[in-house]
Amino acid sequence: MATILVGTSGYSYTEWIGPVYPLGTKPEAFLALYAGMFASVELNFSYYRMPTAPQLSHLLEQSGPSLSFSIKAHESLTHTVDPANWRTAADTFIKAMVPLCEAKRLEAVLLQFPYSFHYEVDRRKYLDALLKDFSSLPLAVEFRNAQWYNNRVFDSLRERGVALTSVDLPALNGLPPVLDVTTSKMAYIRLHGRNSDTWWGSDAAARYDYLYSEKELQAWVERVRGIASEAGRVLVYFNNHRRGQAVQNAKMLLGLLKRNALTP
Amino acid sequence: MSHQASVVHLNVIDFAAAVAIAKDRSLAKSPFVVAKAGAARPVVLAVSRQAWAEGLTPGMPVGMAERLVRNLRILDPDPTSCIMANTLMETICRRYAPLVQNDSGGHLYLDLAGTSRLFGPHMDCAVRIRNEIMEQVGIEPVVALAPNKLVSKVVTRAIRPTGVACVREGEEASFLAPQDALLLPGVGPAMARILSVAGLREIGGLAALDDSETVALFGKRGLALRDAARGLDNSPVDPGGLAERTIWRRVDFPEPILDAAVFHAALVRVVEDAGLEMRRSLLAAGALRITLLYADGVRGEAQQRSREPLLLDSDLIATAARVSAKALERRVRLRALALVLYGLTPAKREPDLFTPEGPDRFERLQSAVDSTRLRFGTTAVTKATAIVHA
Repeated sequence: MATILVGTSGYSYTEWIGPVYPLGTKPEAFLALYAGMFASVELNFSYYRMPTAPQLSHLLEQSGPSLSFSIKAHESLTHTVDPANWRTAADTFIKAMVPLCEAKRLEAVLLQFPYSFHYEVDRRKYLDALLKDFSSLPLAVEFRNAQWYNNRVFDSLRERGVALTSVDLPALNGLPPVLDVTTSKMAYIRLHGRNSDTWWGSDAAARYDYLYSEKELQAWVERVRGIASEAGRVLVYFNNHRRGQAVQNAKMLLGLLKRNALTP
Repeated sequence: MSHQASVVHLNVIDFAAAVAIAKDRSLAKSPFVVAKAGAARPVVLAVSRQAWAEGLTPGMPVGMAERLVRNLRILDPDPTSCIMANTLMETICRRYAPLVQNDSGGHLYLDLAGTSRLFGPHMDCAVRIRNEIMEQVGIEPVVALAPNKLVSKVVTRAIRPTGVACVREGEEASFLAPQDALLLPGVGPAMARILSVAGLREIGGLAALDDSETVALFGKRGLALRDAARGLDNSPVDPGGLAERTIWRRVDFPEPILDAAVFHAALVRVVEDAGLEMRRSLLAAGALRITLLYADGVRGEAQQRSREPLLLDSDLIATAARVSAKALERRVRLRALALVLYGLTPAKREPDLFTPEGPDRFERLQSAVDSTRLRFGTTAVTKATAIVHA
């Protein structure tokens, strides 16, 4: 049976004090409390600030003995790529992963590309080069532009053993289709909420303000069942972080997976 | 008013191999192929996932497959188990879908329109059906939900060998655009060569052609192909499925005839006409029936099942001639002749699967003849026997 890990995208939100963490909790205590709830976390501070090895070593210490990590690539590698300097940024990022790799607690590096990252020759060449540079690490890519969802991309990711992220988003034109294609031994799922009214033109807090119903998550259990038949390890992260809804949904999904005998 | 995509295509890749694994799970981790033993030049009919990873493909000569993979296991086809698995898949689908089209060989189309109050969103329902098939049949189909059959078929081809996907209403053309043109139904070897020469690698390139460009490149048939590239398809999910579908042609002679040559000419014409319709639907016939109506009102009938699916006119005409000879038991004038093609199955595009002895030449010839008939009419090109006495 595949190992299925469920967690959230990020753990350090002050607005989670109250709904998730006890009142009065200090930020430095967040991770230890989080590790008591979930087996894995997706770090997303690394998108805004280039991570360093000491920083990640410190997180390992704070998190206890077993929490595993996925980590989102820095924006200079996915959103604001400088053709002249991206290799330096890649090198810095990869070196920062050493503590997580040595502790065998790195699940995946997530390369999330924006809607503006079109399926064009230059972008394809860049992606190819980036995947080569990161080939020593377990990788997942997430495309927000639907043009990337084609058979050549699926085959290329399979050849490279890179996971294609399954995303849950509002059903809006231009956004990626519902699609589960297992392209590596590790499968990566991100649930962003289905808030179609606030998806475009609002801030992240409003965009990810959504609470999945149990019915919606039961449907995800059925999808995970299929994914788990192909992949040895399935990572599921909730990004609907507003007011701690991601935590509520992650716990709900864990309960459903257990009820459906997909997790011990 | 917006419509929800409701057509589901279930596609089991290399069905015969998947069924073999369902029967014997120990096969799952070893490369093997399914091929007919005793054939003069056996070809691979289906490959396991492991064999596929080693570079083996359906249609490949077995000898070549054995050279590529040492100690390759070769299994005989097991049509009984395949039929049972296909029937069980259909039974599961019918619990959820009011319309099920069973095209056999692990291909089923469902129309879930009107079921969402009972079974929830169509995508969730499609996934549930997939999971029940996995649990009860032991095989995993690729699942695609789309607004029509054509798009759903391209999607399963794009994401194979496993997975689920949904293309929303209004996004058919944009989803198809970046896919390989070879995934489009109707693109066989001959069409693929033209697309390659024209530099059209993706479906979007074909979709962007205007009418005159399309006709210049492909003839009139190209317009249908271009429209398919745009994701247009009005064909309904046919609940009868291929098991009940037939292709039927009849010719009534102006005067009752007794001349064998005239009869043969008419026979060739109806076979060519029916064969063209069959190939346009990407089908092959498993059986053929001839019905004769004598001038005195008596009927004569004969039929024959074929061991191999009948695809090309040359095979259809030869079979029809044999069946006619059986049906023609009386020396009485004939008033009419009817032909029925049945036992239809999806035509495999891999030529070796059908006629290993130099199939390319015949397929190219057939393709050229079909294109000419579609452009200039069915009588434009025909056998000499059909012209002389017509």
